[in-house]
Amino acid sequence: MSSKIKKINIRAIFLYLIMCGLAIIIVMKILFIQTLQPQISKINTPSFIPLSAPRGNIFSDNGSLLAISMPLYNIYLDLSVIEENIFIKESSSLASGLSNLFEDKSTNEYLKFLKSNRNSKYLRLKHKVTQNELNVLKSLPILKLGKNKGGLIAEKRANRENPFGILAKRTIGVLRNSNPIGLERAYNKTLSGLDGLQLKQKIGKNLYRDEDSELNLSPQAGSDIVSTINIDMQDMAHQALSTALERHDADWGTVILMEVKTGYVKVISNLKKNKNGSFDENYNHAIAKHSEPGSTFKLASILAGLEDSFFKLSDSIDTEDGTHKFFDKTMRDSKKGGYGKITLGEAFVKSSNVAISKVINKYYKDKPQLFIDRIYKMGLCTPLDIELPYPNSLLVKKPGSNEWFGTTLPWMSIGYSLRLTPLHMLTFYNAIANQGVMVKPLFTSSVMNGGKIIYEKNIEVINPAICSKSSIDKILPFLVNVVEEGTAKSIKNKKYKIAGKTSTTLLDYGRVEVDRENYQKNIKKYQPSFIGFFPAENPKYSCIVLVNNPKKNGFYGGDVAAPIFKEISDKVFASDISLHQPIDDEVEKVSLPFVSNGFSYDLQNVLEKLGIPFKSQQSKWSVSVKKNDQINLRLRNINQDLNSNQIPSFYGMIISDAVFLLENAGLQVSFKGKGKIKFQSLKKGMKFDLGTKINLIAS
Amino acid sequence: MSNNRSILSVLKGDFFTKKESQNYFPFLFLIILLLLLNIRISFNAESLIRQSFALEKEITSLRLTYINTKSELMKVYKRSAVEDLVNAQGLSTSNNPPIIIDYNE
Repeated sequence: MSSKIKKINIRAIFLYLIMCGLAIIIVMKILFIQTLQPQISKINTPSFIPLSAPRGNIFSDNGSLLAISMPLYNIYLDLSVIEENIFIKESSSLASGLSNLFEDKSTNEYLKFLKSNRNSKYLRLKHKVTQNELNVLKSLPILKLGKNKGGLIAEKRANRENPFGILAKRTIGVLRNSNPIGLERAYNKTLSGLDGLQLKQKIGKNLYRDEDSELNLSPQAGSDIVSTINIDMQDMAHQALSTALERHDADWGTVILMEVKTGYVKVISNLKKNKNGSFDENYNHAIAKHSEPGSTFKLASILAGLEDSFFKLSDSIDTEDGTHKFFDKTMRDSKKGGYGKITLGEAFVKSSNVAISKVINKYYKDKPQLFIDRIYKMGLCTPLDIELPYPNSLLVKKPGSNEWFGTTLPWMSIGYSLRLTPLHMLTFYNAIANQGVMVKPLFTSSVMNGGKIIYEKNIEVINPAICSKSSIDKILPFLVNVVEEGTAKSIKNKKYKIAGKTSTTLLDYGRVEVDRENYQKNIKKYQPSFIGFFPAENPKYSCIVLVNNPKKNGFYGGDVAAPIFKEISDKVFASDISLHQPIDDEVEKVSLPFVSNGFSYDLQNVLEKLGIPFKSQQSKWSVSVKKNDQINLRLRNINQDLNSNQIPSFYGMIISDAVFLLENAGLQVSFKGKGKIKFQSLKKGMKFDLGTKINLIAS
Repeated sequence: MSNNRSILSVLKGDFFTKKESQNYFPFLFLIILLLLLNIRISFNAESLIRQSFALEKEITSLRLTYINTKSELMKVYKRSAVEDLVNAQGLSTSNNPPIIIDYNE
């Protein structure tokens, strides 16, 4: 018995020791992993995983998408996982599908490509594939078997898509580590939103379970930006500019279209010629390119003189022989021989350099600061404070400084010796169109979140009066005359009036003057431009067109820039319904229609339906007469006449009605023609009997 | 000695046969049942998470398809793209402004 117990004890102790040993090993292993192998110990520990907030979109003024986050995919193939019989059977169908989808290689080329890389585990098929293309790929033979059997590897990559391609590309912008640009940069905080954090427990491959934690933070989606850009107008301007740049073989060009009252920039197009001859938006000339404005600046010079009451536009100026010497430099008019004696207004319309510079120099040479102060008040001496960042290299020389010479003022008066951006010049012209109120150019109108507007921008007034209204009223007819009979008469049209000013800036003017002889040899570079607004009577849009270095088919502002302006303004004028009034029914009153004589009930019915005013007497048959803007349906005694066997007058009556009445009264009727009766063989008042014959002729 | 005995009784499973232990059986069964239920619920929850993950993936894919299609639509919707399409039929954008007839019923 005791030996039995002993045996059991030994077995129990042995089992106990084994269990203890196992427990110790497990505890040791746990301690080992916990302390020395954190990569294993923490693999299933819940951890905080950042949740990125979706970036907001950028919309155009009518809700079209200008920028949206849309990931792309890099596609690779692991052909080694595909079973041989499947590969042999379906590789040609796959090759055909790939050829149809990407349209970059033939079916045979794809088949050869697949076969030659049969054992490849990571074969690059295509980069930057869209979601829709990926969906098609997933439905192709072999690839539809999935990653493990079909070998399709799709690697997602972040991407910001501009559905309209290069339209306003520089203004919409790009967010990147170095040199971010445009609205994407200016509104990065608004678009980004706030990233979140979530405690997650890993429960499988790529599979996590959310865990509760006080530190969890939901991501807040970025807001959407509604820009002021109108994509239709942008497209029209882009097409017009691109065609013109090609026609004139120009280096670059820019167009800005702004809404006069609000300052909303509806169009901002910048095109620059690439080395291969194509055009692309790769610099925002409109807001960043500082250059001499040329003759478009003459408007500021004239306004300065008008404000200081130094001259009137009717004053006469002698343009001499088209040249005038200021110290050692000669001012020239574009017309050889000059314009003779002309009024200042005509000089503005014809863009005479000599006249404008002479008159400005005459009144301001002893007090140039007064001229600069006027220009300052017009907002042309301070950089524009706009939403988009841009390098500021505005230049307006200061009297008394080292760079101010005796020739500075006359040349400045015609738009040289200073540098401004196209947007700056347009803002100035826009203020003239807006009766002196200078508004800030705006590129965005509101911020939206979840489809609701959370912030709406107000119009920002830079200066409520850059000059007096009387000065604007004086100069406006001349701005219109520039187009009607001046340097931009090529764009005159009957549908609406344009007010504006041309410019043909000679680039590197200083160098040209110093070495004039050499610069005659085809190396002169011009920068034609046109700034204007339309319709001139009640301007809704202002626009600048600037083209750099045209080499073919003209170089004057009136020949190069103004036609682009007109192409855009024509289309905008035709497409903007708010520029047109409905036909006024008071003014364009439709005259009363002709109403024939006939059956009163029918006539009243028709007139009522057409809404034509009428007055009727109680009678079965009526004669219609126009009187005082209404139709009078007068009594016609046809039935009484017929009852008393007298022939009535049927003139003007529809023949079918007359035949009906006469035959009912017992007459034999013969007739010719259709419509109204113009002849009856029996005259009114004649007696008739049953069976009497009557002939009727209708028109 | 008594300790040895109790260990032996545990190892031999004698405590199951004791009458006073049998009183706890329903409670033990309840504990086992609850454990099984807990395991089942855990598996069920994981299965739901997997389903939810698959659905989220599908939603993401559908949303991206929608964005992609909308982006492609924008390209076709462009005025110049429409003009190119209708040019072949001899149609082009009119520069004549519309005549507006304001009809008040």
